[in-house]
Amino acid sequence: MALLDVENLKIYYFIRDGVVKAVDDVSLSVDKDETWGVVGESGCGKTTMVFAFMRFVAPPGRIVGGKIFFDGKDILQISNEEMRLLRGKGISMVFQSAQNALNPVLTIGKQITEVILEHESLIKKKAWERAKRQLELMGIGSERVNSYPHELSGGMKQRVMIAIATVCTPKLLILDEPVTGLDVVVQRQLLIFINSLRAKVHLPIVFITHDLSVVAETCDRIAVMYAGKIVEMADISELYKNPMHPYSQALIGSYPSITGEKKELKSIPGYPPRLIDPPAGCRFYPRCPYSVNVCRDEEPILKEKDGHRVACHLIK
Amino acid sequence: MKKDEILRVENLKKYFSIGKGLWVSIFSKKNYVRAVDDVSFSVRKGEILGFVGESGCGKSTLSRTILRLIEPTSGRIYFEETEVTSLNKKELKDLRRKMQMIFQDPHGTLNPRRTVADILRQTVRIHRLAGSDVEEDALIKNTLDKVELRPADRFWDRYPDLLSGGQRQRVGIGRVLILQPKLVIADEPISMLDVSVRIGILDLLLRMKEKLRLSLIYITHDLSTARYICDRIAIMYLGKIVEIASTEDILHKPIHPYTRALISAVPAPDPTVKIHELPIKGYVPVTSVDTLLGCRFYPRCLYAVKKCHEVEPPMVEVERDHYVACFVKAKQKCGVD
Repeated sequence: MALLDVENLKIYYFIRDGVVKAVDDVSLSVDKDETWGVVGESGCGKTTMVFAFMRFVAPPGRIVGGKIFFDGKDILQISNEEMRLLRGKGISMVFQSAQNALNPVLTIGKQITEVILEHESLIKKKAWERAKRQLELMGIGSERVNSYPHELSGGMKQRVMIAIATVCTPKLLILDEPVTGLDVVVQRQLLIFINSLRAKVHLPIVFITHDLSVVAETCDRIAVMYAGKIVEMADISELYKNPMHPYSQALIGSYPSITGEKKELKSIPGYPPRLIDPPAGCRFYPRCPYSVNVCRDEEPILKEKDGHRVACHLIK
Repeated sequence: MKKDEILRVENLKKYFSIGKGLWVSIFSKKNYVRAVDDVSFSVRKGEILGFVGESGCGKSTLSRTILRLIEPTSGRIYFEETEVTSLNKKELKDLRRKMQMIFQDPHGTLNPRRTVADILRQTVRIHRLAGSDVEEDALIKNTLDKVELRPADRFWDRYPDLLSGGQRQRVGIGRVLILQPKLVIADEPISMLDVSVRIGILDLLLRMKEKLRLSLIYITHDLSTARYICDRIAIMYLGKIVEIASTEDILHKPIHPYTRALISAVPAPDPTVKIHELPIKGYVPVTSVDTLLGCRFYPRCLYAVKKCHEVEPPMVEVERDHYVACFVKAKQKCGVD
């Protein structure tokens, strides 16, 4: 049994203009000791999907279908109290933009101990010691325990966020765009850090990003999302070597690189669809260079081929 | 000014004073952030010059100072034969027709209450580009076609809200191109766009450069897109240019330790490349208030010697058209101090 099993998850936003199908029939399973990268452009539903893992989806959004099993339990069925205990201890999440996610009027020590005291029966003094150790582990230095968020740099704040998320040794960590908005040098330092953390504590990670080059260096497996659907899943090296879905191909082809030969890059014509009335059939077909008649009428399902799972009519 | 140059910037400085209230400012030495500190470079006709650096290195301040959207503290800016820093308001308006800027946030820079056609029309009217309404409409239509918002009728009456990020940025570019400028400064024009439409915008800039014989300054934090469109790249660190050379030289023969660190920090879109440590120490100082003597990179540099701490390194031409400001590396390269 996988650690996290998502089956046919559907999350819709019910707004005045209609129904936005942000996540539409997505299945994914994360094994222990596996790092998944979920890649897609803004608005493809990747953040909405992981919000459901934490049961954070709020109106006008609603989970309208599917199941999420974590450690054998369907987390969409358990009580609010049980869910609260699971957050931070079972599944933990690092939110996008640490800048806004930290409380500006509490010291970072206070914010870390808050989580510890919530989940473990420790006295305050012990919790502080644990918070300090956690900061050391993050490479920040325990003397920073009394600092306020504004006294830290962007990269450090992001590490504090990771410290908070991992202090109770969760079984699964979700990172939502953890390096977006950071400078390249800081970004690299943080990626090195995440990799070393993974080696130290064997933590399965779901890594959400729009940047393919970031996941290339950290993840084992990749899911490519487009307009609310997973269009391709594969091992990282497989996906880069041999992308099968036209969208994955286009995404990889549109990445400039600073190493190797300077190559001709192709942009993907058109724009991502509005999810309020997505195209019938394959959602990528209006932008797809290979589309045929069947793509317009019939929705492709994920098929197994050479270790990939691809949703494309052209894959036989 | 050389014949093939369109813009020449000499010893440009922009210091922002850090306000501490009246009392302190009278009785103590003023504190400054040296956002742009003694920067000199030139842009050649028909080339794309990239400025690459991390946030806070002064690249945006530099671009705004060149257009005099921010007044420089000191230094000179020559555009064609005109000395920009001494122009009055009216002359500046005429100049800005030839020198234009594309901004980072295509959402924040378009008036949400005007249609696409009206946004362009406003530019046409301010600069009196058309004699009649018919001429005006033709000009707008032509511009929409140039930036590939086709067919023009479909976009004519749309409000920016109904456009995607990429389309909005095209309107922003259209608003610049309609003036037929000679120099365009693009400040992170694609950093807020979706990955799949970024290359489309860069290709548009490249085509415009060829067709209209533009010169461009491309400001970015991303070396890989800079490589894609730039002829030359200048690397900035804390208000200074540390290295400037042709794109291929910067990427394949980088000299300054900071340039090297920056290049090795760029994530490779290739899973066979393993993540490695960076040749750099520590972090960018939070504020660049002038407490540093000598080289600004010195506290993070792995090669620093005593001299780096004491004297500021000058720009040295180590190879043809390859300038670098580093004592240690320049000496290794040419054997002179």
